[in-house]
Amino acid sequence: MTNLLRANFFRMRRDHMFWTCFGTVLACSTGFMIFWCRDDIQHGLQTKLEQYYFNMALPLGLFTAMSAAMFLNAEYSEGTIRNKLAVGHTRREVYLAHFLTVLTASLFFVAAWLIGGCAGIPMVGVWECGFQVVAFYALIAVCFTAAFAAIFTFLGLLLSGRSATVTVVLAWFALLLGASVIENILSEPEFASGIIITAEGMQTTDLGLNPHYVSGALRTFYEFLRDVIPAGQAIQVQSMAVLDPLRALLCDLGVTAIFTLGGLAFFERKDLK
Amino acid sequence: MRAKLSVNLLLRANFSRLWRSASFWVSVAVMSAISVFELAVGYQPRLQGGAGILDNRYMIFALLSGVVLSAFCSLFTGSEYSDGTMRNKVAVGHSRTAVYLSNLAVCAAAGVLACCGYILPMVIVGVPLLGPFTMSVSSLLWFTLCAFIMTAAMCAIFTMIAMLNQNKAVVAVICIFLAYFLLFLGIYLNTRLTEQAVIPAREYIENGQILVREAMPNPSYVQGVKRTVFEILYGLPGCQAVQLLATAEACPVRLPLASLGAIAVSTTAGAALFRRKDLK
Repeated sequence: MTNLLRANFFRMRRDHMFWTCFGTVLACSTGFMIFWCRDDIQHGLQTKLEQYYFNMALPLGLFTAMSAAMFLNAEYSEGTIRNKLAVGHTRREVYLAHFLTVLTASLFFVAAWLIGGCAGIPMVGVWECGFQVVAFYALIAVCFTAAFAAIFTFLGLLLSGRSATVTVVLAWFALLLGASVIENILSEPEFASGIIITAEGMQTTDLGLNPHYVSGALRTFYEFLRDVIPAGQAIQVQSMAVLDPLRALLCDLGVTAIFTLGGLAFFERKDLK
Repeated sequence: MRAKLSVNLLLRANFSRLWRSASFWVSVAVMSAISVFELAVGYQPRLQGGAGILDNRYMIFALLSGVVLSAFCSLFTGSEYSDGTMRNKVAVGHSRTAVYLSNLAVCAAAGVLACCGYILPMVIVGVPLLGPFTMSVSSLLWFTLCAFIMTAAMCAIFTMIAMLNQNKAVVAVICIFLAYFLLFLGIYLNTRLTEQAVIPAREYIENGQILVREAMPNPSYVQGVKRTVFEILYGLPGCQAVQLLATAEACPVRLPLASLGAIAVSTTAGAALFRRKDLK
């Protein structure tokens, strides 16, 4: 296992896609932060660092997906995966080593985002919400990134065909789309607007219940589903509004465990040709 | 005469491969599935006594086509390299330009067909379910034509990337990333360019007194060279999808013209570079 990890990390250090993704996350995080802060300062608006600091949480999954897809695809296309098994490593070790490599790469992206975002400190000062709050959201980001890594490793290692790369990268889009749909449903206000704008000006009416508002058990289910999808947590971290942090962390743990255990079980039986 | 025949043969071969391509049928199926999902979501307010509007749901295919086709174009064209078909075509005497153009034509046709996979359920099931479109037929057809030309432009860009790089995985990642990037750039540009130039005067109550805030210039309003740059970027295929949705009824002529320009530039550059490419 140690040998496998050493070999994977050795390859990761020379992987162009990994460094491209790392550089892009760092450049975007730094560049956008400077751009947004400068824009606000120029317009005389009061701004806080945390207002923009978590904006990069959403696209993190895409970079994890691209890096994982390319890294795992090369294992099959170059025949490395068969070599590893031929020299006596178990399939379980091979799968776990790949998962840990993808996870490490994605944690590097998280670090690039967090470091790059600090570019705004000289312009607007440190976080007003306190370091603890930032650390708390960073922890959730690390956990949902681990869940993303587990999902992408599962897909990348079990779909060895030509379309594996495409499937892994599109999986992120599908997760984002699903999370956005749930977010839209949950963001419906409970009461319909009591203000009507007419030709004679603004008129107030009685507040009515919004028929699109989801309540009760169904709302709890949707909230749970939003936490289960890592992209749903990314949306919550981006807007700094994680509804139930403990549930979010447990969901990440659950998703990571299910996909890793499932992946191990399926990979044991996979025909590697 | 020989060149024309050559392109016809290539087109016939490519279309024959298209009908057997799993990635093409998956693309059509994904677009159809999203169409059915949108109809189901649109029908819910009608069940509760409200009105479901078909127009907004119909237009979503313009947004989705880029991402779906980025995957298709990279897989379909990538197979030409991985299966060695590309070299065979050149070896039997087809010109490289003909090979390039035939691939572009098939990818663009597949793009339009995938969009039809979305449009057909929307029209056949949507109209009886949600009622007719509120916009005029001419506006609807004009919007659809603009969206088709934009889809063809996206396919032209993806085909260029796929024809110039033999690594299918790299091509897939670049194309999908580009599709996401253009889509999110379009959403950002739409937000910035639709900012009002002036924040209107407003009356508000503070400590029981009615106060008036005078109209003031909006600091977020983009102007000058920056606005011109933003408007040019907003016309790029992909970004344009957001603009098409925003101006569906009166879609300006410059949008399809910008798409045709993108097709011309990418095809000229792609074909020129492909002629010099080492096919190994």
